[in-house]
Amino acid sequence: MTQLQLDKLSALLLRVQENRRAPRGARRPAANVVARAVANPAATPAAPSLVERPAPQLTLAEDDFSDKTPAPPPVPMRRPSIDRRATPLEMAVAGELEQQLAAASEARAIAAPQADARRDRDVTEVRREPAPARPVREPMAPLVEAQSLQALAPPQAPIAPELIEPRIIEPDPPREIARPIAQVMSKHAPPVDATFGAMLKRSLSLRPH
Amino acid sequence: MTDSQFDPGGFFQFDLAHGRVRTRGGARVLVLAENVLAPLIVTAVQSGDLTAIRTLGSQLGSIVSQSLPAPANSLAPQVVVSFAGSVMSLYGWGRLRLEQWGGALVIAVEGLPPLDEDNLAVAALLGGIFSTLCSAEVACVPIARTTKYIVVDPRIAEQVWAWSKSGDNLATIASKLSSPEAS
Repeated sequence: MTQLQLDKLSALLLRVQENRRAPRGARRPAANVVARAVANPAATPAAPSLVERPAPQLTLAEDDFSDKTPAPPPVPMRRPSIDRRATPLEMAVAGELEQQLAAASEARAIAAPQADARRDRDVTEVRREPAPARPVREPMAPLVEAQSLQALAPPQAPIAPELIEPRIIEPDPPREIARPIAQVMSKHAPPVDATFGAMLKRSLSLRPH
Repeated sequence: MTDSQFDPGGFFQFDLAHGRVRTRGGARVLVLAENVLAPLIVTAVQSGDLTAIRTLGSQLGSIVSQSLPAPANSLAPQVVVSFAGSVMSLYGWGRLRLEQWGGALVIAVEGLPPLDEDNLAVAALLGGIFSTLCSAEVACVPIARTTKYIVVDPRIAEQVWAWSKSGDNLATIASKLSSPEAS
């Protein structure tokens, strides 16, 4: 720290002390002072100006991206305060928990401490302990063969077809035929007139009327 | 001559003058070669519509019924089968035989023309014949790799057909049908 900084710091502390000594009402400026300041900002050049200033317009020029003036450090956002007071439910549970904890501690004090090698052992030691070897899973294999399964199964009555002796009903032997099966009604076919005139005559006669 | 046997004499009437063939009952029929009929039947099977074949079976059943000396339910099975077999033989659908496997009625047809692979057409034909004869709707399900057809209720025909396609033989299917679970 330089001497200048020390002087400033001491002056600041002095001012803070003076402010603390001053009565509370003196901190706020009177209403007429504020009004006067608004009406004539030049009257108090040292006081912060309350006149609205036009906001700096943003331009999209590429040159403006080179930020010559360093941006102010980001103000840390104030988190909303959280009410840390316990809810009635928490308080009730806490009361019970405290009672349980007290009872447990009493019991622990009454009971003789037993040597528990595993508990007293160092945690790192326990962690280093190799995990118990898992039994190697044997490949799945049928316990019994399919044939033996069949042998184990209760013998089922096979659906054996009944011994059916078919009774054959033969038709009567054909008797001697007295007359032929085919009875010819007209032995001679009609004579066919193959002449053109006959064919024309037949075709005309076949024409529907 | 007794009425217990079918008389095929004069069953078909060939009218050469008019180019017609009629049955004894008056129905006009056409004579087709099996290699002409087979592709028609295969097409019907592929389209899943064997109504025409079943209708033909119903017509054959009607011919059998009209030929019988008495209602079918009052005659011995042998008589009915003899008449039905005779009519089927007349139409060229093979030789018919009846078998009884426990409580199941099985129809065997030998000498069938090669039609569709699963014999579904003949199954439809037999279904039509025996539905008419029994006066009740029945279905004839072909047993795979055989020339036999089991007569069942149409409601379980698909199930029986699945059994047959899965390889169950006739004895197994008859056992399944006779088991209490099936009923």
